[in-house]
Amino acid sequence: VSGFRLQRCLDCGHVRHPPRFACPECLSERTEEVPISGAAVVHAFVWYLRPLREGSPPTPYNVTVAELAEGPRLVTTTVGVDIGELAVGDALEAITDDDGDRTQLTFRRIG
Amino acid sequence: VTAFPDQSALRDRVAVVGVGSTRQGAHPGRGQYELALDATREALADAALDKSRIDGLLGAKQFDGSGIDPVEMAKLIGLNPRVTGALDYGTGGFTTQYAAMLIATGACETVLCVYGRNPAGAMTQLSGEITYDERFGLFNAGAVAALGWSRHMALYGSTEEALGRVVVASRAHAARNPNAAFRDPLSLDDYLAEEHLVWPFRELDICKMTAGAVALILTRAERAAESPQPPVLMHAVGRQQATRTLEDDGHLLCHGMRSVASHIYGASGLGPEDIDVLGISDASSAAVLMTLENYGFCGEGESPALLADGRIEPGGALALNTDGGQLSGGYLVGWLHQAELVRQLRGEAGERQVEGARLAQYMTTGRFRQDFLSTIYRRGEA
Repeated sequence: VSGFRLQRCLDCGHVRHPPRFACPECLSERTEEVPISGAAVVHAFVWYLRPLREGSPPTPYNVTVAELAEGPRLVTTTVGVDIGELAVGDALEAITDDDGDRTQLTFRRIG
Repeated sequence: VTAFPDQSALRDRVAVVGVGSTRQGAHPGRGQYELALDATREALADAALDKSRIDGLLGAKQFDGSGIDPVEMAKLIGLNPRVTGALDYGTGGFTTQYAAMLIATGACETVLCVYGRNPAGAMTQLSGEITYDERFGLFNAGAVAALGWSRHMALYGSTEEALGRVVVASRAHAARNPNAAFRDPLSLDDYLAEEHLVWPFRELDICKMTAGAVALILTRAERAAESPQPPVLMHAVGRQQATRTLEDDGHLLCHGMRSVASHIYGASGLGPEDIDVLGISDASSAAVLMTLENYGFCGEGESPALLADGRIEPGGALALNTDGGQLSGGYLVGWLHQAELVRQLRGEAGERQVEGARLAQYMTTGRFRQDFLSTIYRRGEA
């Protein structure tokens, strides 16, 4: 997951996501980019059992809100789990998923 | 003690004196302005006002830009209002708050608020058709509510049965409302037998698009006596936006509502125990449960237990969405709730009347869990 970075405020240290030009806590524009650790937990999740529209991922699939160890939460998916195997609070680690078009950050369950 | 803005300039100064609403459901061949005009005629007759008395006209837009344009509506009814306006996400309570601001500040005296729609797929199409994340397939506003319920289940051990009880009660109420869209009986077993759509939600947990319209006429309380109906006074109204979304810990559980609760109960000196009739915005079943908790009708995580003994069924101790709500009555983004609460406070809700209703509270989640509002209405002296 070396290609994925987060913005961190150089003045107050707040790590933010999604990216923007200023820190939402102290309003400073002084920013650095830091690599993500890849550690996260499941904050919330759903399972789509039927496609809700064209262009849907193949069902069943889950949408996971992952809370990164650095603080930010993001919308992603947990790969390699079936319905019933995922729970809020599960430990996750980030992996990259190259779908041919672009590389995206996904997660798998650990432990 | 939470600080809240002073609201003495508003309290009981604005009255709802006219209400009109169409049947909700399918209206093939009838456009949204035709439905809006039906509701407007009824509201004017109800208030016994000539249209020339309307000096403010508010329509409402939806997130996709559709809706009732107030200038078009003014042309349609042949008026030159002092003010027209439409919120860009004008669910019912936000628009009546806007009307109250216009009246309480003397910008207008009598405001018509009107909304109607006739969407494609009325009665079959799921509401909330919006894409949050294309890459990972986070589709439909209901899925975000389902994310919240997954968290609720993990934190409090709540179940899908609680969702089912909300849906089943909404159907039972709708059966007593001749204008409701979905009136067929539904049991908890029927609900549980349906397959999941977006676990932990079934299709029944997400309201469907319906066609219909509502019109409301608001005026200064001093002028309410000119209309024949018992006036319904706007007693308190509070709003809290939640633009930080997932950056706030309680986003998926709608904790922004707690700020509205502090505001509205603080401003009025009232509490949940004082409210006779509740109108809760129920674009999804889970929204009802989270609303009850965040406003203090029960403790955090206790909403499933609150519902367990038929308390929100018709005749139960908690009169909630007595017209069937959006899940079964019709989905008109909160406008129908205003109409039902006004009728309950007037004592004209027929078979579903809550005896002696004096105080009613509307509670909503707008703009996809990023905007919360609540209104307390009080029955005035006739």
